[in-house]
Amino acid sequence: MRRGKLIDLARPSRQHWLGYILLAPAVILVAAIIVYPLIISIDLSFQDVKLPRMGAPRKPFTLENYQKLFSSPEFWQTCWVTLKLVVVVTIACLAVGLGTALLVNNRFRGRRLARLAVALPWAVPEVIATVIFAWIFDSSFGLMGWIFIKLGLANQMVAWFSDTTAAFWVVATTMVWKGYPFVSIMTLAGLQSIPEDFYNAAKVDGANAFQRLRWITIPSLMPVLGVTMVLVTLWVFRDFSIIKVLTDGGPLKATQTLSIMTYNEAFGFFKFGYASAVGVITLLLCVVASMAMLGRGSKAMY
Amino acid sequence: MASISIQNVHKSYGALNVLKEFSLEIEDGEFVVLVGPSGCGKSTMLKILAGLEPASGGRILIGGRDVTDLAPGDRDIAMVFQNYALYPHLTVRDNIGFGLKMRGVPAAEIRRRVDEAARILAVEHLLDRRPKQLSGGQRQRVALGRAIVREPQAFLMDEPLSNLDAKLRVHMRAEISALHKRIGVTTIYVTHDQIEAMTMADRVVIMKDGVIQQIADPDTLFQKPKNLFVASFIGSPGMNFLAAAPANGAAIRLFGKEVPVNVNADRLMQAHSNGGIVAGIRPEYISTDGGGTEFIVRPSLIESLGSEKYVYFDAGEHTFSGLNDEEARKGLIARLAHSSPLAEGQELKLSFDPARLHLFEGKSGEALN
Repeated sequence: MRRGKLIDLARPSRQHWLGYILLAPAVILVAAIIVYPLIISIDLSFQDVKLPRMGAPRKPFTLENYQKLFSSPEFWQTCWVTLKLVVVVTIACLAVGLGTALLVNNRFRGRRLARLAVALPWAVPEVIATVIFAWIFDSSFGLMGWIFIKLGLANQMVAWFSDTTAAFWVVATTMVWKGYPFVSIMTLAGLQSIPEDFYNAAKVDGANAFQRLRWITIPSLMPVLGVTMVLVTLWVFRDFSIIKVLTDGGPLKATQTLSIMTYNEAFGFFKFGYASAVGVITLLLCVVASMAMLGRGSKAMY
Repeated sequence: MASISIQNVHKSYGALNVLKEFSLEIEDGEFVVLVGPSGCGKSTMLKILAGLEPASGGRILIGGRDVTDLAPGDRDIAMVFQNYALYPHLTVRDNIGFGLKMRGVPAAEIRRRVDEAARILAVEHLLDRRPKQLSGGQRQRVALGRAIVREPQAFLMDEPLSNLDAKLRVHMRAEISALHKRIGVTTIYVTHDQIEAMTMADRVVIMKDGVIQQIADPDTLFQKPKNLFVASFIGSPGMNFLAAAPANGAAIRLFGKEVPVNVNADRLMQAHSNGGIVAGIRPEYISTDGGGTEFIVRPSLIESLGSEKYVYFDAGEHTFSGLNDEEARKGLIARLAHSSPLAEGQELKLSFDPARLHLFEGKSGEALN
C-alpha cells in the first residue's frame, strides 16, 4: 500500500528536485543583487538619466550616452590606463606569486612562518593596506622618499602623487602587494598536486633545476595559472578602493580606471545614464577578456 | 651496460635505521629483483642507487665508476616508476624523448631513437597521443620506452607492474623479461610480489626490515630457503609450518610418527631448546598417493581452482604461531591435483615425502637443512 506522502523527494523520478530546492536560495539572491541591478543598469545606459528615482517615468530610448562615450578622449584615456594597469599588475602578480610559491614550497626550517608571511597581505583589508601605502609614499615624510634619498636616487622628497608616471606606478605597486598572495596560495596548491615522481623521473633523465621548472612545473601549473590569471585580471578591472583612496584617479586622470570613471560619473557628476554606459562597456570588456583567457587556458589543460 | 657494485650501503633517518649494511655485486646484464614486504627498504635502496636519496654510508659503483655522490642525471641510469611518471602535457613522442632532449641531443637523432624505441615496444601508432589517451598497458610500454631510448648503463624499475590489473600484469611481466633478453641491459627491479621475483629474476634479493635475508636464484630460494621468513615469503600458497618435537636420533616426531630427517640429533636437540623445531612442507608436496609419512586429516575447507584443489586442515597439536596469528589461524594447506570428490569434514589420508621437509630453528628462524 502506498503511503500518501505529499512530496517524496526520495523517489528516483524526483531526484533532481532536491538539487533545485537547495540551489534556489542562492539563485534568488544572485538574481536579486546582481542580475536585477545589471538589467537596470543596461536599461539606464540607453536613457538620458541624471539621477534615477524609483517609480519615475521611463525616459525615451537614446544612444547618446554611447555616442558621447566613444567620442570622448577621457574615455579612451581611461581605457588605456585600465589596460596598462591590468597588464602590469597581472604580470607582476603572477611573477611575484609564482616566485614566492616556489620558495615556500621548498623544505626548510620555518616554512610555516614563511608561508604565513607570504599570505599575510591577503588578510590585510584593502583600505588599510592602501592607507599604509599612502603613508609610505607620502610626499613630505614618506618612507619611500627617504629610501630614495638615502640610496641617492633623489636629492629631495619625491612628490609621488603629483607626477602622472609616478602615481601610476605607486598604484600598480600597491595592487601587486595586495594581489600577489592570491596567486601564491593558488600556485602553492597547484605545486603540491604535482607528483613527486615527475621530478624524480626528470632528475634521472638529467634535467637541471631550470629545465624542471620550464618543462614540468610551469606546464603542470598551467590550468591553475590560467584560472588565476583570469581572476587577477578581473580583480584589477573592478578594483575600486585602492585607487579611490590612494589617488582618486588623479593626477590629471592618470590613474583613472573604468571603475573609478563609472563612480565619478555617477556619484560625482550625477550622470547615471552615462555612468551606466561606462559600466556596461566595462562588463563587455571583462567578458571578452576572460573568455579569451579561459579559452587559452582550457586548451592548455590536458 | 655495466656491472653494479653496492658496498656496505646503509640508510638512517635520525635514529630510524631503514636499511642495514647492504652489499651486492651485480654482473653486467643481470636481472636482479629486490623483493620483500612493504617497509623492508627495497625502494629506499633503489632510490639510493638512482641518486634520488643520499645514502648514510657506503659506496656504489656503476661500471667501475664511483657514483655514490653523483647527481641522478650523471649516473647514466634510467628508471621506471610505479605510476609511470609520464608527463600529461607532452605527447608520447616527447615523453619518450624527454631525457635525450634534456641532454641536448640533436632533434633528428632524438627522432630516430624514439622511433626505434617505439618500434621495439610496439607503440609507434601512439606517438602523437597524450598519456591520458592511453590504456594502462600502453602507458607502461611508454614508460619503458623512455628508459630504453636513453641506452643507459642500467635500468631501475620500481614496482612497474603494480598499477596493472592481474591479467595485464602477467602479460607485461613476460614482455619485460623478453625486453631484457633482447637488449641485455643490467636491470634492478623492485617488487613486493614474489611471483614477479620468481618468474623474472636471474637472482632474487629477499629483504625484511632493512636486512637482506637471502640472495639466490629463484630455484635455490624455493628449494633451499635460508630461514623461516624466506620459506614463508616464497611460494603460493605459502609453506606449511608445523611445530615438531625431536625423536630418537636424526628424526622428528610428526603426526604421531617418527620422521627421519637429514639433520643430526645434536643439532635437533639444540634447536629444540632454542625456540623449538619448526618443520616446513610446501602444499604442493602433500599428496593423496600414499607412501612416505602418512597422516589422516578432516579438511575444514576445500577450494577448487578447476585444475587443482586447495585442502585446508587444522594442524592440531603441531600448530605453529611463530610467524603471525593470521598464518596460524588459516591452518595447513595441501594442493592436490586430485579430481575425485572430496568433502569437508570427511576423513582424508594425506602423505608427504620426508625428504621434502624443511627444518628451522624456532627462535632464530634459521634453516637446519
